[in-house]
Amino acid sequence: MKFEIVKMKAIWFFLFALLTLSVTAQERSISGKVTDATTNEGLIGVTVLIQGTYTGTVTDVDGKFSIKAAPGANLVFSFIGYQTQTVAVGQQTTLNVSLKTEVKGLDEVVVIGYGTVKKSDATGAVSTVSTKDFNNGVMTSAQDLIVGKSAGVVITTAGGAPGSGATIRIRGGSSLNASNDPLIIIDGVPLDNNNVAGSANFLSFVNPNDIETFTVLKDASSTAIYGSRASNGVILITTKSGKLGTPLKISYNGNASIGEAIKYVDVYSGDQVRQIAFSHPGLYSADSYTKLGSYNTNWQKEIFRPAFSHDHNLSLSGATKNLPYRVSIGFTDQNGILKNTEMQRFTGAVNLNPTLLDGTLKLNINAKGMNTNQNFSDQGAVGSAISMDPTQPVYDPSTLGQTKSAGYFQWSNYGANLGTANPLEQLMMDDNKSTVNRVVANIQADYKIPYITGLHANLNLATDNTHGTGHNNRPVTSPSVLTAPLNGQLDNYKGNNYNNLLDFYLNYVKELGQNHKIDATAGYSWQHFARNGNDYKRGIVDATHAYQKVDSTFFTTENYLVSFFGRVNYTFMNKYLLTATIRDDGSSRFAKGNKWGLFPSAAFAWKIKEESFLKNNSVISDLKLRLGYGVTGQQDIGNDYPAQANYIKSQAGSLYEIGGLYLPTLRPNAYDPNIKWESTTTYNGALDFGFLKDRITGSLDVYYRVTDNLLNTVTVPTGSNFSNTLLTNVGSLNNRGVELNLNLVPISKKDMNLTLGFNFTYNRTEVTKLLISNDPTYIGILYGSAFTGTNQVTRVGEAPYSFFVNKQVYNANGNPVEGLYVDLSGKGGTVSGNNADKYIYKNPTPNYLMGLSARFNYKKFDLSASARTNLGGYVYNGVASGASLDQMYQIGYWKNMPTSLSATNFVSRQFTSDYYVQNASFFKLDNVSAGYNFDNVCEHFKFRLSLTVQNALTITKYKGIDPEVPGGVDNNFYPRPRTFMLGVSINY
Amino acid sequence: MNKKILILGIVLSALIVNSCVKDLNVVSKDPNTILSGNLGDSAVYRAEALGKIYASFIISGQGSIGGDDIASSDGNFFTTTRALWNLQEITTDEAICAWGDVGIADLNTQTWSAQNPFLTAVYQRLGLSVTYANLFIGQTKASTDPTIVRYNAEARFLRALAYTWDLDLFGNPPFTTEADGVGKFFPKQMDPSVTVGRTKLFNYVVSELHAIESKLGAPKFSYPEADQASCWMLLARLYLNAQVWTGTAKFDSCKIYCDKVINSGLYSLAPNYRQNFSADNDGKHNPEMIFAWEQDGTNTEGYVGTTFIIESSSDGTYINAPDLGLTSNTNWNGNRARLQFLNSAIDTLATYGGSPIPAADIYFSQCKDKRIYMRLKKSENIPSPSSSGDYGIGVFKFTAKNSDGSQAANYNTAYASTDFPVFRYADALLMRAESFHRLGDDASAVNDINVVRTRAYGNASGNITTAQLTDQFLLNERGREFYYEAQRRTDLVRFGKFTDGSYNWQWKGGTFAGVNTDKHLNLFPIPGDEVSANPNIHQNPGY
Repeated sequence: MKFEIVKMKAIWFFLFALLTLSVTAQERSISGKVTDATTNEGLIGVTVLIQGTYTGTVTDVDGKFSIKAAPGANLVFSFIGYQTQTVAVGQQTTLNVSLKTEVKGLDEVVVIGYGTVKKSDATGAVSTVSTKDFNNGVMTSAQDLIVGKSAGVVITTAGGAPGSGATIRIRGGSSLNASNDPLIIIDGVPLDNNNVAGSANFLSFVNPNDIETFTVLKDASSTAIYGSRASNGVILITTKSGKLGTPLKISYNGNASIGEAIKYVDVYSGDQVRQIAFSHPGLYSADSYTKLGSYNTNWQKEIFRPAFSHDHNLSLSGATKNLPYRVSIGFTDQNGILKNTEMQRFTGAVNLNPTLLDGTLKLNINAKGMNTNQNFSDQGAVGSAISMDPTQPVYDPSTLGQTKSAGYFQWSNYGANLGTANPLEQLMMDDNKSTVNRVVANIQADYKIPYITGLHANLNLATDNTHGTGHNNRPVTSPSVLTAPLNGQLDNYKGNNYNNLLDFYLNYVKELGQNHKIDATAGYSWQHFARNGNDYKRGIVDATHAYQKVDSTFFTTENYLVSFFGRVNYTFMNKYLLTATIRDDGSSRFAKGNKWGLFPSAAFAWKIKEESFLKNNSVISDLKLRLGYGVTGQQDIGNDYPAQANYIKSQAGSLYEIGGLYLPTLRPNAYDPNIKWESTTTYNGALDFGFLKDRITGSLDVYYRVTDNLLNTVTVPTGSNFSNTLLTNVGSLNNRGVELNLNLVPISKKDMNLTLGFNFTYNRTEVTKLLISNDPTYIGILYGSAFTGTNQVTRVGEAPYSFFVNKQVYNANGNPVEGLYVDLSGKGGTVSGNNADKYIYKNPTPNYLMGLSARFNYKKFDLSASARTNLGGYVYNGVASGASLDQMYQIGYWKNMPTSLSATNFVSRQFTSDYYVQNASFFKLDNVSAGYNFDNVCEHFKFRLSLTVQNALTITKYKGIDPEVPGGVDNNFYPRPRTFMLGVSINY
Repeated sequence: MNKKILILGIVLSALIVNSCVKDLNVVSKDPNTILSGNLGDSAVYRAEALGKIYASFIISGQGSIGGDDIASSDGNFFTTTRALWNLQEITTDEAICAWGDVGIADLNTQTWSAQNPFLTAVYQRLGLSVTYANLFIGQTKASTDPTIVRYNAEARFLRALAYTWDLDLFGNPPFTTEADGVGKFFPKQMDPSVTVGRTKLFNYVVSELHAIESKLGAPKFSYPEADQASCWMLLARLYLNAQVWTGTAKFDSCKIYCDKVINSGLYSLAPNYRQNFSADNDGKHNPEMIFAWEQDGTNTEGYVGTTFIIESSSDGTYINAPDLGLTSNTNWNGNRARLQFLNSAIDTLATYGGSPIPAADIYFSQCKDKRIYMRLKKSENIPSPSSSGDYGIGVFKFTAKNSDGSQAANYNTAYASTDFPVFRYADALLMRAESFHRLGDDASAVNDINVVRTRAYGNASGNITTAQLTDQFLLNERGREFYYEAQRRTDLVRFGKFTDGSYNWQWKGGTFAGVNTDKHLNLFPIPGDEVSANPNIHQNPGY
């Protein structure tokens, strides 16, 4: 293989040398002027290149140029904002060229459900993010490529663990209890959003380097063709492919990076803990002082490290005759900033697009494979490092040889079984690893049916198989997180996901006369999802005991979707566009009578720019109005058999004695025989615009979305079902919002370009119905734990997951008074923690989101940056609210606290105080990248070096480490690192 | 040719589409789940489904796969018996809990609202046990198989027991039977009025118990399953409280059912009182245990029932749970008794001759009653309702060890194998004594009481005479015998001492000395969640 490449290179070099030689022999001088086709003014800085060479020149102030070229040569004239022209030199010596302005995006093709459409003809809210707009330096998680790039699309990473996933929300969520994840389709294969056991991110199988575009379908008129899976939007991912008629291109992209923790939680030092302990003799017993150590350990420093990672990608693309191809491989080794956490991934992708049978049959064959090895370790260490007593040492020589230490300090050696685990021991001793393999392959055939012009048949067969295995073992020397009598644990698990698809549709395009065009599609789709897995846990007491608490679990579940769909696009005079779609979806999840759902949509677009009164307007270069309506559904409700009555058997440890034998028990499960689809109706109105030759382009969308038959887990009347709560269709909620996308090109010159992208999103979600009955006094669905009390609520008239807290009373100095809250109910009694005295104070969802990106290049140097701002979101600071003086000494051990405790000096924890609901608005500079292109290092080689900083800057008032908290409750998650990355890219 | 291919294609696609549409009729293939229709008359499945009704009273659910039976913020906290214990004990003089968890403080001080999570849990879980039982009863009622007929009667017993606690705590719960379906409907109370509804439900429960009496297994046929003696004890308890629950006293009927238990000759007091609260307290080893929720260190686990009582009453300093057999995750330092209960139990005045309890007598050794498993903690008074568990009177009556101090069978360091007593033989004696007393036969009452006291003192030295028998004495005696067994609130209500001013204790009503509280608190409210969910439900008066 290597030899082959070397050989080919030699041939190429030889051919090139010959060509250059012959050209030099006969070249002559050619001069001329380049003008703007509409204004006839000379254009400065137009690049004039001899096609197929790097020889060229640039027009002067008057638009004039002069160049030496052979008579057989072609000259290529290119200028940003204008259509590129290629002119044959022939025998001419003077060559005047007029360039037409390029109406950007006019002929850009956009992928939509079951087909494509010219961007200018799109009627729905569709936004495309392609390679050039992607965030730099993304190694493992494809989602990260488009963070902050599209209005209405919010991507929140789960944390900083290597290979961790992210949640994607398009225009807020349309559901409460059902999935709010968008449907993700890669090269025509709709994916199952469920992770297989051992996998942290279901999208990690796609190498970000293989992705060409993300197309986000936001409104129902564009998504409704996906019916029951479309309520939360659809993301279509297209991977790169070879192009017909291009030679072999080899590229290598590699980078090396170093990540580090940005900030630690500010906790007390050992000295401070001792000082607090001795200054509160009333709080701590005399006995407790004997448990204080003499050290000053910074536990957070012990568990984090600078993490080195590297990533390599090689791709070959091109075409041989009728077979365009692209083959790529990738290897990533990403180390986490938490010690002993790592992810290694191999990816491979093959894409073939042969055309057969005289061009009537086009095939698109895709195969992607992935192998991931991940070391998760015990990420509970992040929390332990905050709580672990800093007066104790990391290693404890005095307990060497004792079974429960492995050389580390462990509270269990000092009689405190519940003591905080030694965080370093937690990380280093836990053997928690997984291997995930996945193959996604599909073949798409498009056949031009003979005899009927314009009729195509399209068949797509796909399969997606994932297999995960892993283990989470703890040696007997590491009892920290286990419940006695266990000192160690063995845990092996496996999981498999299968997803098979058959899509078939017919497409018919017909122009009737000059003014009418019809594009109709009708099809059928079948998809089967199956998941299974097992988990085998064994507890270890010591070598002399048999395994304890053996727990072997197994599950298998599947569901089918069968659908019929159709779409008609009608275009009148290339100005008025009508789209109507319909999908009839059948889901195996529901009972007879509720299986089928019908999801229609309609959209209208008016290309105002095409009207005579605007056609020649030089200020407005594009203007289009779009109106859309559609109904979509939701059937991903977390359970494949929600309508079926069944029993579940209890596990070991939950038995009861009947007839003298301990038997597992059989519990009838709560179910709703009438459960059905959620249906979401969306209205969308939008304006696409372009000004000043498209130096300014953008779109403004306004939407209103109502979900009815909202699936909600509600309290059921006691006596009516087999639990206290039931998932059933009872509620309604709505989303309304405004989205603005703007692209600006402030500088567009020969050597210098500046492009700015800006997007703005306003979204508000309101719950309008929650119960079977309509009780206006209903407090709402409460969230919280028995220990912390309720601190969140979903209530009619409010945003979901609003914070539900007591109103803190402050003293004259502005400090919170412990345990003193406003008696909002006026009924007296206990106010603290009493739901009747709580109020709704803020919610975790930001109201306003902005994304900003900039790209600048000067000659061979380029600079890009992307940033985001979230405004109006709040976070419950669970790290701070868990701190109080009385918690510092527990049963037999000391515990550290964040220094935020010194601001309140609370003796007992005040979980329900609004003091802990903190403003989490932020500005984040996610990404800054600088690069330099070395074009002429060597013939045919393009070489690029880049330096990227990820997570460069965060500005926020929030008092915890990171204001971007999934779910809005901050409880010590794996912190996102700041990463410095050096990238190299070589193209041949 | 092309046409033929086209036609073939169409026919084939039609076939494929048709078969694919049939894929939508899919059923679970998971071996852990059994479709309702497949339960059939399998004796094993029936036994397992019956086991669930029992288990639903004591543990949280099915374990790792099936999870908890109810959605709540903590599975163990909100199991029936554990939450019921809180409602019955920390609302009274017998216990106060130091924890800051939501709902604890307002139970401690009798200032609860309809949002209290513990009363919500008890209400929902009792209703759930009723619903499990309804399904089982409906599925098995046509069977003539003698085992299934007996299972059916046991399910009806458990439903009657759940309704009995409902009667006691909430008065007028929604009423469903096997005739009701499953889905989304709004069950009704037997009557909108709590007094009428409560009486109707009382009559229904009593009639159910009469109907199943002969269908249940003979006493002691298969502990821990409910048998005829369990049925008699439940009837006795119903009749004992009939005055409060229906307005009509039924002490004569109470006596009849106590007689059945006592005259069966199958039960006797355990020679050692502590055995009732030890790992060997089950009916197979203990002649006194009639009905209990079985707990087992390896088979029926959870931080529930007696494990909860032992751990929550231990603090590591004054009472050490490892000394009581539980060495894992121990000493939760929550519950302890209030001084007023100690005074009523040991008769402090008489015991110490009017002097204060000597600081050295931390175990109240001068009191000859061997039922006193209590000790002084940091101070006998509890300085504030949220004071740590180090204050007050420690209680260590329950233990995870056997009564002789040996390790329990199926020993687990975290979970006790001590069953949670529901009906003990001592209760039959004291219920009958109370009935005799109310019916005017104090001599017979004293006979029964002295059987219990002879065991308590080890001899006749603690026996009383008819002259000493007062209402207050009966209440105190029940306290001494049944403290920490989730009976106190019911007894205080029956004796009229729970809310009104004739008896107050520390922090009752939220003050140190204790104040009168309103009598509507004798019944708990219907939980707010239920009132919101079910428009047919009428809230109890005063809430």
